[in-house]
Amino acid sequence: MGRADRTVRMSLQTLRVLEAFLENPGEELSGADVHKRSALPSGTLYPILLRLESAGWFVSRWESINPVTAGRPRRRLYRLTPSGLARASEVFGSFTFGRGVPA
Amino acid sequence: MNRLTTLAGLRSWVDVLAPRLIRCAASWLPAGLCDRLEEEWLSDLCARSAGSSRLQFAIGCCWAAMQIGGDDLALNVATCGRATVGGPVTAHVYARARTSSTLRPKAAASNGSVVCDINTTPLIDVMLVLLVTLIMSLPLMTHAVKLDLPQAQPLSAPAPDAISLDIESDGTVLWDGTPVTNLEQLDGYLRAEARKTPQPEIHLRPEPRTRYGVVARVLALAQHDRIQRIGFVGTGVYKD
Repeated sequence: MGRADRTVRMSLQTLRVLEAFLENPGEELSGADVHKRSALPSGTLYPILLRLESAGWFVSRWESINPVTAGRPRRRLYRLTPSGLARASEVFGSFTFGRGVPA
Repeated sequence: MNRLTTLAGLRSWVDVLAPRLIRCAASWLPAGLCDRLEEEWLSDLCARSAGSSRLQFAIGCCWAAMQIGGDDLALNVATCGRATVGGPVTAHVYARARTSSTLRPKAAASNGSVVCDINTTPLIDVMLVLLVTLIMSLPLMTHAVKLDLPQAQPLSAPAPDAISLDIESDGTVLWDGTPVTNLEQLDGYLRAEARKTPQPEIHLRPEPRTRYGVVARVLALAQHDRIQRIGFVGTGVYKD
């Protein structure tokens, strides 16, 4: 894939996205799921998801369902990569008060 | 009753408007991302409850498209369009797509139409290379190392020996002031000098009243003995 594990600028919104994934690191979340957990508007959420995916923190895939039988379109699912999980844990570990987003 | 009808009409209008906004926003994206994000956003739109939430989501997608299109990051994301599933878009392809089709209609970028703009990227690359080369070569051109080198002394060639060969008016030949008894002795002197390296100069100084035949025999003998440096000196006395 040749993805580079580049440094991601850590904003409060980025931390919220990471926090949504760190609740269950192995879980795959769609943009709508992340929106429900982080309460970020779509204009902020999707650029962050793309940046993190570009940096190698996330991988994404299309949901493997049949839209006809499921009655809804397939979703794009994001998942933390092992390196992304390590980096995210490292970022949140730097906060002395735990995983929570700094106020 | 009329109010409910108005709300229902507004909601249906939003349901039609939101997908259109999303498709419009996706068309602003680079060619490699527009299909993927359009499908992703439309899918996530279905997860929203109908009404203002969908409209907010669609407007947010427009904002996201502008953010992604103007993002300086060379995104390296996997795209799965509708026609082709899977396949990553490298940073290079994405950067090229960004420069060519950012904030342009999707059709213009994806239908293979001719782009009339001059691609100035290689020109700028060449200019920067030339500029850097010039900047790096300037100190070499102006910089000089001052060294006190030893000055070469002109070689003073040793003055060749000069042998005066005087011929008096009575035919007497003087070899450096010493009378030569006969031509055989003179021949021996000349042969000995001819073997030296370098040969000495023979300064021939016949008196004005000397017979030409004597001088001619001395010159012939010198030529026969391969004397190369021979000349008349004191020729001013012959003017009178």
